[in-house]
Amino acid sequence: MTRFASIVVVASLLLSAACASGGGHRPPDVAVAQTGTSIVGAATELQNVVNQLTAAGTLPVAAGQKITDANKVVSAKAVQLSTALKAYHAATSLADRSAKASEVQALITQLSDPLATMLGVQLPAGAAQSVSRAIGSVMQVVGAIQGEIAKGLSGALLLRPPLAVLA
Amino acid sequence: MPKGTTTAGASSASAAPSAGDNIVSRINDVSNVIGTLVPAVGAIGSMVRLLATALRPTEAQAAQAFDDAIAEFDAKVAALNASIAGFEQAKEQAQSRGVSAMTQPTK
Repeated sequence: MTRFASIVVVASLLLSAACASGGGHRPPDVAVAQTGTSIVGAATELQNVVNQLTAAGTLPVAAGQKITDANKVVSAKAVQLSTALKAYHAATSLADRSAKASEVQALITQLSDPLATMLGVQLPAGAAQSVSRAIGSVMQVVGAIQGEIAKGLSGALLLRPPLAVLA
Repeated sequence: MPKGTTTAGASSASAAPSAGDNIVSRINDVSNVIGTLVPAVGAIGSMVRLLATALRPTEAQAAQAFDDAIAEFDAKVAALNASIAGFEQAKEQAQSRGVSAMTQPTK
């Protein structure tokens, strides 16, 4: 009986450890918001590089203007994404939540358009490396969130029931 | 004790267990084990449920996590807009340096 009691204790400890390891998952809306933060942060770093190189005369004003215009699109999409996420979070019905999730997904996909514009800008030799590196950082983050969608984040966005249903 | 009867003979007559006794004994053993297992499993289940409840974030915590994430997101967007606005100053600096806007790119 002593051995059996020991087995019971060990089994319960293992089960509690398994519960603990599964408790760290981010809600999907929080994950999207945090990834959006990373995208915008990378875009800001890119804009800072553009500003510095333009002020120094290393980057032509025309090229800097194109990248800045593309960043304005990123900013506009980010504002829409923030609004859509808030609406998704506040949705009280599954149908409403599904519609808002689709909107969030569409906005994330649309973030690729300004990146393509940035990549099409001709850069002089002195500015190419630093600007390209900054654009690459933005692309990497956008690619990561789109990868999350491909893996099923979109499913998680749709499957999470609204708070009113849980109550 | 009657003459001719040995004590060994008298004790051996009642010592051998029957097959039925063996079965009953085994059933009792199994019942005892089950009787111990059932409350133990129940105790484990209760413990797991308590742990899962304690580890699962409450709705208030989830709402707070979202509010924090959105607030940070909005702050980053504001920083991006400020940086975009800074491009105008960069243009003016470039023009004040007399840098030609028609510098030939190499790409």
